[in-house]
Amino acid sequence: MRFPARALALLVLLAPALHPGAVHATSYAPVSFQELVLKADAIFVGDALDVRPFTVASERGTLIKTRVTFLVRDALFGTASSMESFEFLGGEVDGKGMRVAEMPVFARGDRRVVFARREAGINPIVGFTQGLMRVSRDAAGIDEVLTSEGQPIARTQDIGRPGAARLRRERPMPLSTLRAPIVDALRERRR
Amino acid sequence: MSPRTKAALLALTATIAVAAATVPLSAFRVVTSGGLQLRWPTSRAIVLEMQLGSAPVEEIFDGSTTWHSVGTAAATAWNALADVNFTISTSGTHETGRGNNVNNVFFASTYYGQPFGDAVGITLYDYDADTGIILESDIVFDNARSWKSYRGPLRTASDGARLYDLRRAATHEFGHVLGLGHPDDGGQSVTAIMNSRINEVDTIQQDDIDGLTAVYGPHTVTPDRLVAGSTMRAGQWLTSLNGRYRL
Repeated sequence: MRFPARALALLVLLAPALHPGAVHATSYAPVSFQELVLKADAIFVGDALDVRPFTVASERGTLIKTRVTFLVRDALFGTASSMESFEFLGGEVDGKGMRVAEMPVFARGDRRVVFARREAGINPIVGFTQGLMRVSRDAAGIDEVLTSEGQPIARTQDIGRPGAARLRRERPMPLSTLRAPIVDALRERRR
Repeated sequence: MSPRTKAALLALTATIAVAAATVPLSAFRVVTSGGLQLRWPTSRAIVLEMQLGSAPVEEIFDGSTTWHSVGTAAATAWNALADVNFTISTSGTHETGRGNNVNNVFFASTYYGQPFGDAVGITLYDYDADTGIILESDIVFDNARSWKSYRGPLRTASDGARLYDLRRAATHEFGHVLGLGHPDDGGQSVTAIMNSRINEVDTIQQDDIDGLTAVYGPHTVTPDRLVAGSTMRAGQWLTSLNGRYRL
């Protein structure tokens, strides 16, 4: 039986849609960009200035937490201070380690876009890791926005879908273009 | 070669290339700290103090009658996939607590006094910072959420809130206990129970097994444990006693 080339070409186009793994891999409920802005008490671009683990007594034993102090480079919402500190569960003190799976970790000098809650808790970042974006400078000197794990964010709709921009082979969005959608979302929040 | 044959071959080649590009490759991630991979010693079983509740609960959906049985099914699903296993303790003699060398699994309104925030369940490790060996791991589920146990697509409660499936959430958290991370946080597009966003995947997938094998090595079964009717799972193989042959 002869198999027409057109039918084969059609099969080529349909192949990605027919593959079951590709279908399942994208089905999750993301935290939207709008929700990030709505839930955040403070939004800013900052550099991790100090990363300091410490112990704290809890009702059921000792916990290790890490206080991260940011130098605020660009205050977007909820802060007028040049410094902001937040505490994250986990860290290392005197050879003992405590870690929450997939909790963001910081090193001095890390530049991040931060969407944070003021309420003390396990992790102040809105959406656990989604409200924390890495800022990376490209070869042309332009600051670009990545997920906390280093995946490109090409548009605000990619937040909560960390592989989306990579699959589309798109470049990360410049940090300068993130400000406008944040301001728009904040305007909606104030209404 | 005729133009028609040439076109057909070109299309076939492109089909294979596209299909290969869409096959989810192994994308598992492991939990690390300071470059050290966190893992349990394989010399002993990981004892879980299952404290989710043994009192009968109505309407769990999947036929389970207690949260304890749901948690136990989730934990033991990881057994026999690598040379590390969970055993379930129901002694009831251990209080929940940090640093008590007991792996407590329970519901609470906070994680030892810390609000859950956006997390549904939390897995915390105590480990030796010099070796990465895990010493204790407590798993706490937020009791403010609506919980059931069911398979398939995610459901919503009558008030429109998400109805969480404890079985799949616990399977995910026990994967964390073993040292597995979230493949999708690394931008990977793969089917896995370890993806960070809860979705319709409700059982351990091949990528999860690959991750487990990467941390602990392939599961070995000694000949005396082989019984008639044994089946092999993906990621398992038989090795001859002298180690020279593998099937």
